[in-house]
Amino acid sequence: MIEVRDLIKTYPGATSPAVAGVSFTVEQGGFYTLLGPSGCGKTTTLRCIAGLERPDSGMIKLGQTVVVSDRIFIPTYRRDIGMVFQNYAVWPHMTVFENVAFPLRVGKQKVAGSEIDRRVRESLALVGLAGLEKRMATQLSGGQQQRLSVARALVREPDVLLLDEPLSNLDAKLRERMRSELLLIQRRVGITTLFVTHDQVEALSMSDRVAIMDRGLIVQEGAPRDIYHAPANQFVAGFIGSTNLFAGRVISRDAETGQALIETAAGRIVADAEGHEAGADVMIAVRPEDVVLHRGRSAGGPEAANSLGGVVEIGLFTGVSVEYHLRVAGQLVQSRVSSRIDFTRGDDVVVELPVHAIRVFSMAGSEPAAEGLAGQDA
Amino acid sequence: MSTAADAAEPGGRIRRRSPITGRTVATAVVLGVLIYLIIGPLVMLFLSTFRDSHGALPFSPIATWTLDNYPAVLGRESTWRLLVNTFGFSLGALFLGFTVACMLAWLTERTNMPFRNVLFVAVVASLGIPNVIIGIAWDLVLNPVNGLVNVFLRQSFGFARPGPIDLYTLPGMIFVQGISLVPITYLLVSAAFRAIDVSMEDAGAAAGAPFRTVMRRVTLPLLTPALLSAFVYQFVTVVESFDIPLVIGIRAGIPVLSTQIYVQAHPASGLPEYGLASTYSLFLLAIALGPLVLYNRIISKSERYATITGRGYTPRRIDLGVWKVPAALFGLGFVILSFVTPALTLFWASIQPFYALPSAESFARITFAAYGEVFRNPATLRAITNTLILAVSVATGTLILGTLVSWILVRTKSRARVLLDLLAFLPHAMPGVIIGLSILLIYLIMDRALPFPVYGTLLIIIIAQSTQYVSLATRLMSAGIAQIKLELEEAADISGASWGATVRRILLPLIRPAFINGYLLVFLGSIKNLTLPLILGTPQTVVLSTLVFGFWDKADTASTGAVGILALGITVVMSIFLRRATLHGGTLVA
Repeated sequence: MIEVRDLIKTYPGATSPAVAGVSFTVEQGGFYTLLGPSGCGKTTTLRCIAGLERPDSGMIKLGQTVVVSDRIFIPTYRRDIGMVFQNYAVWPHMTVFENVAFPLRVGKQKVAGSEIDRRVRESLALVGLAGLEKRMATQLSGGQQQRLSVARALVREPDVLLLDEPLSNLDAKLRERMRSELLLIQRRVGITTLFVTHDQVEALSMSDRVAIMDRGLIVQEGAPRDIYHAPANQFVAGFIGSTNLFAGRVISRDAETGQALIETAAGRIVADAEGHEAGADVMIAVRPEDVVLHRGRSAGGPEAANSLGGVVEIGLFTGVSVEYHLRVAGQLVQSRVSSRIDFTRGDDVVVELPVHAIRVFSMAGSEPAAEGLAGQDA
Repeated sequence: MSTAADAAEPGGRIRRRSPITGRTVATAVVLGVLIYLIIGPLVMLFLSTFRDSHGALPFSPIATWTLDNYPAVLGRESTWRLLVNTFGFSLGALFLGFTVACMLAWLTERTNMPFRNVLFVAVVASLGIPNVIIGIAWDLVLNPVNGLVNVFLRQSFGFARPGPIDLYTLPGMIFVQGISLVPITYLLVSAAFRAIDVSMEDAGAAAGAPFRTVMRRVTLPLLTPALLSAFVYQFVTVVESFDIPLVIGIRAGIPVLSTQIYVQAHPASGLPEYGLASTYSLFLLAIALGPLVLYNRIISKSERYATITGRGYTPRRIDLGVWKVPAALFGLGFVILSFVTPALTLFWASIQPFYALPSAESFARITFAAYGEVFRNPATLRAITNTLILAVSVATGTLILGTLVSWILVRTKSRARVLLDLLAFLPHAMPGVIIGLSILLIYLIMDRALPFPVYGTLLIIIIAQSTQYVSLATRLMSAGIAQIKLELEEAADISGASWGATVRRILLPLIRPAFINGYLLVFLGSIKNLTLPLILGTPQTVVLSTLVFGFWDKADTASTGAVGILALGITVVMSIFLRRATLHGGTLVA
């Protein structure tokens, strides 16, 4: 179990804190991910947990041991952790075996030679490097160095596994494979794991819980599914997946159903707008894959709410799907549809935004962190 | 230029297919110049070891062929003393220099020692002080007769004259040479510290190793290749060093190989023994060449340590706590020894009509007369002019040559590359005394054959220093050119630029920073160099370093101080202009 309370860390010379009061709990055996753009404080949080940075204030508990508090700062080497670094930090002057044996050799409890041998082999077998013990660490490929790094982190069976963007140096194919392999190892060992990444696919596919960080704070925490389908604010909506975002103003709201009519540059849109009063400036978010396209012109009229007339600007065929860029009044809208649906540039289409798929955020307080129409794509 | 027309003609295509003519000529010229500069002296040296010159030149009519020089050198007991001295002196100075440099590097790179940036600048500044001046300044401080510290100790504690501290001993030589080794060693070691991926050390801590274990089992082994190569490089530097063994060692009666060669060729009395001098030279050459071959091996092997490097964290600095003050005092102590003491002593010597301890009386005697005298002396003006002509010629010549060699080495597949590589490497293993001696022999002999005089003019020193510094220039320019992506030149090629235009409009502007920096380094080296002007110079070709040495040799302390301060001012200011990036990157030797 990892428990972090009110963690604050400001680097010397920095104007704003890198971590500005972060609290979260990782359940025993859980796979927990800190996800955010670079500079959001996720790595600093991890390094504080590892003891590689000293936080200004806050509490950190690993298992049953408080390692950081007002009066306590336990140095890294006394913490019961295993860590995988972004660049693997495999020691080039040691063999594969010696790299993995190192934590057993330098630890406080002496481990017998035969025991070291057994555990190193076990650990290497776990990551699929059995038989490479005698190689120099630098003779391994990038992917193998990564496994070696995992074996080294697990060999002394720590309470907690810390992963600092371990997949970001691998090429795309290998990264995909390592994703499932790493998760499989974690499940098999059952170790409490904290994972730091800026890659949303890694975060969503591997984690039990994900915390989205922005400017030193956790802005949303939840299961991957909830985060994707119910982003708490515009930043999360823009950061996770791609999103059509457009500004609007609430014209009227039905108090009973909670549905509101919202005026936007693309036209009038009906959406669930709980908590947004008439006259409020809001931001509307719709995932491209939720945008439905129909051939032809919009019929118009009140029953055609959320069915807007648009023109195809361009279609990007990716094989799995087609991403159409559509101009709806003054607004660009993206739609991702089955690759069997075929439009050409200039076609008239009806762009349908299903009511259940629309998220409404209040404009005030939602920073323009997600730039433009669509945020980072997957 | 009619590049467009060239390309349009059918002939243009033929020229493209074999664009070699221009390059072949350039390669041949460069190769010729290098052979002339480097192989000539080596051949002369080798042949001279088989000549008995009977007091004349090795190839004068009365000289004869002989095999006696080798048994004479090997059989002498003094030769073995010479080797013991050379190694004792070298290893002692290296031990001192590396201990101090490693501590300084660790303190400035990895701890929160106060004033660490000031310390860095001070170390770089002391890089500029010529060794001959360091030696002379320490003579003024510690010589047993009138060294300031000795006089002070005698006056205060009633020690007997001379003494109590004797600079003219092996430890004295080691001390001064050790201090003079620190700046470059420091730059090399701190570059090595910076090259270590900090996450390697973090991984050690995360694996449960305490600080000391991480230092011993991760940091030190990772530093080892860089430390080893710095050690080998500096070993060669000390074995070849001449200034401090000359200033201190000769008076101390502790000859090393470099000074022995000088003495054989310039005996205080009797006739020069060029055959013996050449044979000693061959010894020294062998001692220097071996480690350098090893050094090149280490450098190429260090690629074995290439790992995936991630984003670099600025390493957390270790909090020294109560040790901050001792650490700062250590740094201050070094700056006092390396820079403040030599500079202040020279200055004090320059403003005293006769050399004495600072006191009420000596303060009353302060006079700047020596400066006036020195500047009225035509030799000083000649020395300044000569120094500038020499430094500009050598820096220009070697940098142009070095750039061409580097370009051929890095960019072409010319078959001459192996030879060029070897030629450009050799002078580094050739101690200054050997270059001086062999070039002296060449031009003494060729003097009558040449249409214009070389011996006795600045030209001979220019040639000798060009031989000496072409290695440095080539190394710096190779590093500079290797950093420029080939695509940039290819893009110019594809845009239709001729080879000349590509060089002029793409390559030259891009290598300018490396060129300027290399120019400064060679310029600085030329000014600091005493060996070659001393061996090859005449009163007409006096330069600043030989002028200082001459004044000091005649015990004219005031003039020594005045010219010393002048030379030191020029070189220190120049060294501060060296680009920090180069100093940090360790390209000084890489």
